[in-house]
Amino acid sequence: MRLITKISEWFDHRLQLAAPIREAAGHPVPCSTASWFYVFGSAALTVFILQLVTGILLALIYVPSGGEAWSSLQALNHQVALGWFIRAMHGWGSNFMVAIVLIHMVQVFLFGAHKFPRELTWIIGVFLLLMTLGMAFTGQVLRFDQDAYWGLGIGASIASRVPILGPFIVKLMLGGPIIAGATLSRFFALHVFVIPGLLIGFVCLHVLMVLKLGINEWPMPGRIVKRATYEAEYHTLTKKDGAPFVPYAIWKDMFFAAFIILAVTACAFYFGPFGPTGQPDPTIIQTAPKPDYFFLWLYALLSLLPPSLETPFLLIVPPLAILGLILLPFLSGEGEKSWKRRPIAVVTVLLIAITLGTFTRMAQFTPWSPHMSAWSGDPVPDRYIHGTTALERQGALVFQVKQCHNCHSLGDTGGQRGPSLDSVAVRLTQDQLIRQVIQGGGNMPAYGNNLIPAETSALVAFLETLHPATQRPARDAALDLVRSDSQQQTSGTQPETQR
Amino acid sequence: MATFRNPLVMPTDGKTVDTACWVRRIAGDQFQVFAINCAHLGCPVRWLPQSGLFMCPCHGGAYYRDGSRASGPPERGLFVYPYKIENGVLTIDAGQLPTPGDPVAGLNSEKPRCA
Repeated sequence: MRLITKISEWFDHRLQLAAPIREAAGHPVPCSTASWFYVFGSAALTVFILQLVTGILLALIYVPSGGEAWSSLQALNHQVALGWFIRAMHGWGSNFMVAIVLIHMVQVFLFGAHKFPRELTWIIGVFLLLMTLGMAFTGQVLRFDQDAYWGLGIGASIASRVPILGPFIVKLMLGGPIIAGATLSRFFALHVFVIPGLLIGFVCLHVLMVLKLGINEWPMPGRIVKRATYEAEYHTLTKKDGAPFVPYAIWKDMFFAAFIILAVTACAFYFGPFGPTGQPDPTIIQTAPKPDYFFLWLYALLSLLPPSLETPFLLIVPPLAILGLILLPFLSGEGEKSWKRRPIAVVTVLLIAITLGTFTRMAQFTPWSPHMSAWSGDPVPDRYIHGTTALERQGALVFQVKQCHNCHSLGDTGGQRGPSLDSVAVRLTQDQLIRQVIQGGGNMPAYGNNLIPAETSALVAFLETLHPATQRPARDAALDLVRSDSQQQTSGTQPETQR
Repeated sequence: MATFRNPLVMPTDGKTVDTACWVRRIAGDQFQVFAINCAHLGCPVRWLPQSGLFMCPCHGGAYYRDGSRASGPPERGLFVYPYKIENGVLTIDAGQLPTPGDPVAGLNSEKPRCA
């Protein structure tokens, strides 16, 4: 024991770290901050350390080569002892890290911790969020499967839209004219060296500033932040109502960190690792690539934005959003901290959360994508062809063979890209149906060149039968009148006024 | 669908240098060779012969058989490879990933081409 003490003293005499560590551990924090709301920052740090450890273990086996990355992941999944588990821990750790960082950011914002004097702590936090997302994207690329390959294509397509510099950025990103081995090497360097190095530096700075400036006190409604008086007030608060961080507040951080580690372990054990999906072989095109969950909202947004708005949105909104986050502490550096007195802040957070949540949910079932195998996999339900004429049945066949079912549903089956056709006859008259089929429009391709007139007639005859029993199909009243007139003229009687 | 090997191959590229493209014979020696990448965000488009459309599984872009835009988010038609026929063999100028901002698919192409 004495030997250990002596060795410790020898090191501390030279490093002189014991005193500052003791000071940091014992620094007083407001009693109100020993709360379960204040555990997300330390949880994010814990998951980051977990990612570093599991990442190093994976790097022992992973081969960052376009030709071998995929098979080295297969080896990790199936041959290396517990390789699948380390991959699963790293993958789930990534998901948890993104989620915890976002929750931490929302908590900090709603508790007004971005205000004076913690503006720089917030700004560094914004960069930490961006780097976390950067790690998530580059990590997905290192999986180097079909999703990673086509995901890189999507990234390149977005980057290419930057005016003037677009093609240069794409080449810089891909390391050449196509997605290949050089691309993977680049993303490996980013994921393993560049971004983690920056993250470690920024995390240290972030934590140091929390220690130096003190943890944000529990926001009380009516307690206004003023630059001139805040620091003196905070000092008084910690003196009057403060307790040492260790052990008074730290146990909740440690408890929650342990819970998160257990949760990551449980998810890893139960759900297993993410992929890899099919080989990164561009000749295999029977694939529907999707990003990991933290970018699903963007995947949905890119499907739903009007084409003309997409490029301006991609190029303008993200930089503006980042700029807004950076400027936030300067725009609202003083005033109320409590979320109870900041309704706009609460509504903004709710609006963003609901928007991102909705887009993420939509991206899980992609209603905008054609249901590629509906024409062969989903039958036309019996009730739609029961009691129909030969022409209408022929139309049902055209409907199936020409893959209308891929985009339009009948009953509960078929695609959702176009409107459901269960009651299309109520909405469109015969002429309108013919025009829509031949000319397309409203996001539907024109089928005029792909259908012979007989097929169009049969298809429209079938579509005209699609209406609820209680509703009559739409009719062109003017056409009825003309037909009625001509019939009456033929029979030699005067037409009656019709409404 | 046809496949080709990218002319710029590195030993570490693996299968990524194998690329697919769609070849359409219009008549005689007249062809159109389309890149597999959707002109929206680069996902692989599939040819659905029954409906006569190229369709993208990612965001629902659709193109007619001549590569022109039919519907969905793409703002243009499919990317095309310049081609020539020599001694009965169709060769294309390829080697570059075409993107919306840089629709050139061939390494030797000077000007952007579109369907």
